[in-house]
Amino acid sequence: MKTVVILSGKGGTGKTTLTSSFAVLASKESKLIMADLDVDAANLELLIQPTIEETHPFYSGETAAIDQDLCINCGLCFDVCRFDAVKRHLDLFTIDADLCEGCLSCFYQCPVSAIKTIERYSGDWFQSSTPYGKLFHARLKPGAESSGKLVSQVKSSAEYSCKDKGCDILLMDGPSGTGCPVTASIKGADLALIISEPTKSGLHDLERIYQVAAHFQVPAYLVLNKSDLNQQVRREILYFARKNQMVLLGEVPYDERVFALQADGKPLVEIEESAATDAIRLIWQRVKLEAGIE
Amino acid sequence: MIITIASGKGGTGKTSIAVNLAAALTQPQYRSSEHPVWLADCDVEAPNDALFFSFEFAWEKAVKRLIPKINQEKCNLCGRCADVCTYNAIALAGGKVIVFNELCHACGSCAAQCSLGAISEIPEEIGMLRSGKKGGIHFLEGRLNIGFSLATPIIRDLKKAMERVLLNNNGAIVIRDAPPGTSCTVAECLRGSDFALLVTEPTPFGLHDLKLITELAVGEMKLPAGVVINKSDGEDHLIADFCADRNLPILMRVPMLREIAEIYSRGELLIEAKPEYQQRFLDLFAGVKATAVQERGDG
Repeated sequence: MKTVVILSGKGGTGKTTLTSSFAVLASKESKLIMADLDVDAANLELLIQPTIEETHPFYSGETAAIDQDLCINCGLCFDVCRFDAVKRHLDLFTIDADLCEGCLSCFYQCPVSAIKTIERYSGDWFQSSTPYGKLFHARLKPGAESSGKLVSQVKSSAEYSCKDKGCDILLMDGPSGTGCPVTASIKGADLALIISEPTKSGLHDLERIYQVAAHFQVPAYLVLNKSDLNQQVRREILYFARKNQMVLLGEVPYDERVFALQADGKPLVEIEESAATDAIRLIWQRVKLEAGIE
Repeated sequence: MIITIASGKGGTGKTSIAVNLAAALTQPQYRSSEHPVWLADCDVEAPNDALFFSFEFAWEKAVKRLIPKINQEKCNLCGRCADVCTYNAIALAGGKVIVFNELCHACGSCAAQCSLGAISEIPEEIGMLRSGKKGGIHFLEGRLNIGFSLATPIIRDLKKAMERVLLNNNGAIVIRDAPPGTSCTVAECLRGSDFALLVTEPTPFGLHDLKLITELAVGEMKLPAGVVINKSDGEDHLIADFCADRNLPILMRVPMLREIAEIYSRGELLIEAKPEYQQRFLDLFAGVKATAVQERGDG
């Protein structure tokens, strides 16, 4: 089993568009499992039409709450909380569940055990069937903490299923940024495919996500999307890649029609023959080669 | 007034709208008041606002958090620290206690629970804040260090630094550029804002994520909100229908033009490359103010 994670640093560079097309191409030759790890803006499902088979509620630990009948108003919880979640109103103390990070430091330190814990519902994760193989995905409750934990849950379920069914490829659509959902996504992957674009922001965020991949010792490969948008920044990106021995797997030309075609809710390679889809097919062949997928 | 620019989906143009709005409000010939304008880049995992200006950074500060360090000589391997850590950041392995810094939330619970005093807490830099100025724009940004996971504490420190500035500046206009998504980092940006400006694009992705961010900003946090439809090819009824349904005013449309994408790619301001946008961004701000006032009246 080979795990390929698609990342970008900057959002909106084309991760999901490319992942859905790779899914089509991969499923023709290999047994495939997919995971959408962008749990707080999960969009892969919009392109590959999943039928949900299993729904699992996701609880990310617990939050603390004060039992006012037992509380002696000593204020120790107020002192130990580092997240400003304990609120003081004169002598009364309460916990703001939105700010509580569930460390339970107050729970363990309360001298009269007046703090109880409440299981925190943070969203759902799903196992679905699609025309291209099983998809594991999730929906984070908007505003919820622990998106990294939900990513880990989706990823480990997908990995288990992949091994269990003897699949060849686990294809994972990752989140943007460099924080906890990204670190949870990239850890242990065989190959990280970084989708960048020739914009100043694209270059800046590429430099950051490249360092994350290096930090976790995951081999990073570059795909340049909308590659003819700006020749000068394109050259800067290619220079950055060369300097860091990051292999360029291909370039996809800027194509305004891609935008309108997305409305059909289908992967690009299924509805279009163009320079862009030719490039995507070629890139997938090279991904297979680099990852050692038969 | 604090305006937070959010989107759900990445790459819809939050940064574009944020930098151009800040720049439009500070052009000397258009400045209608003496309210200082602050641009606060809260997308600490991918901070890009500064690429559009050449700020002179006058102030810089490390963001530190207390990470536990185990004194292995004092430790008797009782395992209490690992038991109380709800983030699985501490483990017992090979006759040693191991701390995984990237999972640590710096809550201090382990040190408080260690009966032998074998855990000391060492300040570790997880990111930084910096501030600068260019023309009329005051700028503040946070950056998360690579290899660390915790973006929210950086945003929190950034907001605190901002609060100190605003103590003497009641009338300041603050534009917060939020990260993509709808998780805790975005909630932290929206918390304490006066207005949520939601940037979207007319695709099923844009709509899907606009629904999520509306649920958070309007449904949960009860903020007045308005929408900017970016990359609009005229066929944006998908978004317009949703906005009508949810009573969200569409405050601006920016067309889908390769020319505009190219301007952005070079790190240039739309209001400078296409001066007609100067007035359009001032109109956007007027729309934001009017919507905020109206909602306050209604609510």
